[in-house]
Amino acid sequence: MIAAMRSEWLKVRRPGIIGTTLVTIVVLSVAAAIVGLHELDRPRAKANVTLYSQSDGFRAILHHSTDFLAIVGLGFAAFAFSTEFSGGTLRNLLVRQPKRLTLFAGKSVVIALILAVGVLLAYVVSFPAALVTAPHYGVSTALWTGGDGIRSLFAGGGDLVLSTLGYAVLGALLGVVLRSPAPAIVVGLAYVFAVEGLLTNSFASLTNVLFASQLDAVSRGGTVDVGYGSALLVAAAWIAGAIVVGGIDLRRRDVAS
Amino acid sequence: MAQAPSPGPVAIRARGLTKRYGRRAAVDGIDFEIPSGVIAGFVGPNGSGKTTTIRMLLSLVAPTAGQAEVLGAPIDRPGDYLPRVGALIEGPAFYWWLSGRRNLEVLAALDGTPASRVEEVLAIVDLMDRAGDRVHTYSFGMKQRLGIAAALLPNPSLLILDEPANGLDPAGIQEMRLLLGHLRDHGVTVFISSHILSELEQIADWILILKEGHLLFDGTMAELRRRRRTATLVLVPERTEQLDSLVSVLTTNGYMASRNGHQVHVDDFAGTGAELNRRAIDAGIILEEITPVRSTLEDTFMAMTGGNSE
Repeated sequence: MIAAMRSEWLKVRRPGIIGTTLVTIVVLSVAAAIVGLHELDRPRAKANVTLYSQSDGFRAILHHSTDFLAIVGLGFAAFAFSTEFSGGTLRNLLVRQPKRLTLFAGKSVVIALILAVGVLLAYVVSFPAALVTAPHYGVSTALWTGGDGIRSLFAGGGDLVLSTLGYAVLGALLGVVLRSPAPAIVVGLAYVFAVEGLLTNSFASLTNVLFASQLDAVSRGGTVDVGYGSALLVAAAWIAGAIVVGGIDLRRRDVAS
Repeated sequence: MAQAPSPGPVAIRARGLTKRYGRRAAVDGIDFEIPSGVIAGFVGPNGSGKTTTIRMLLSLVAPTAGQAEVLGAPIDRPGDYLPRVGALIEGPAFYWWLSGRRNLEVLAALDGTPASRVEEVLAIVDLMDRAGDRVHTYSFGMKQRLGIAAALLPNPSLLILDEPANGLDPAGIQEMRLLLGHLRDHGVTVFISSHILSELEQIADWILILKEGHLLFDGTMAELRRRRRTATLVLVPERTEQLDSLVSVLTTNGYMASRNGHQVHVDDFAGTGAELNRRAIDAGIILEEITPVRSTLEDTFMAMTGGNSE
């Protein structure tokens, strides 16, 4: 698998690819933090100064970046996996590494590392940005840098990475099954942002079951509807299922294009 | 199907190899053996099942039925033989945003091929000057050469090339022909599909002809040549007013003669020109020209497949 990782790294280590991905994540995360603070000015805003002034205030602010991190995670993975099929490059790789699962495991690790580094970098850069901007909206940041604040900071970063990687697993599965970038990305985003929303609005109990709801709860450290531990467990079950389905498809389906 | 004696151990063996898509058989129970150390040509019209067969041999596609062995290992254990196989399948496919050299490094990293080998194969296909440029700036012929370089990376015992001459200019085709001959001389088995039949006629020792998933021929090139349609003989009498008389004399004697402008064509002729000359002289006709027109591999292929050469 190390060889597969090295091969994948050679593909993506171009400054253009890594740089564009990281800069996009960082810039949009900082923007999301500022948008989160700006929301305080909106009438009937869900957030309030008291909430943001808590020790986990920064985490609450950065929650606004979850949706776009879902898009990045899902889209990046779906593109990376599906283009190997649609571009015809997979057949070259499989002649050199016929163990398909090993090949894709190596690829997955590299994709996951890039996304994790991107999310953490965005988190780290957004923190001082939020620290500087928050007082202008009347938010006190004193508790953010206290003991509980630092613990919340680390937990929030980890949960955001987990949530983004969860979306990436969905993107990878769709990339492997659909084998073409546009359908994989469109179907993934349509499910996360439309289908699941419709389902949970119609059947509230599904909030405890459906995949994107669990990832959303994980990124927040748990919600009123879905506890953190439960969300983590259910999301892990979905991810395990996705890996099994993707693995079976990968092993059994012909590479004919 | 006649089997010529194998000059060496078998490089590829297929028994009842079949691939069905629904009710349609893309490859229908083919049996063949390709000995080691030969250049084996694989020809057939479009849709005849050549690429599907190659995909099965490379374990990219699972057979519906039948068995095949490559370099002594069954195709359901690709890890046992693919490290010794180089392949160019369905034209070159590369990461357009990477250079030619980096594309080869990506493949080399997968099986631990040393970086020095990348430079070697780039030199072999004459791409050193452009190796640092992104692949999207390459012509199709350059991409094809890069594909051949990728196939050569593992220093293969068996090279499988699917239409490798596509996009190459005449000089490139000549270089490839020399390269394949050189590899064969060094013990590499080359399995090459092509619709450029004249190319195969010049370089292949062994030939397989496929049509609609069925194998029509599997044997040596020499054997195929023996099966070629009998030659046509073109006769030109000294006096053109004797053309019809010549046709009449020959048809009376059982030859398939017909007038064609100022010539007489004798088709499916297996004898000698002297034999016809004697008949003509006996009838008082002096022949100015006797020209045998030998059928090519392409003619034979057309006759066997009853279709075009594509």
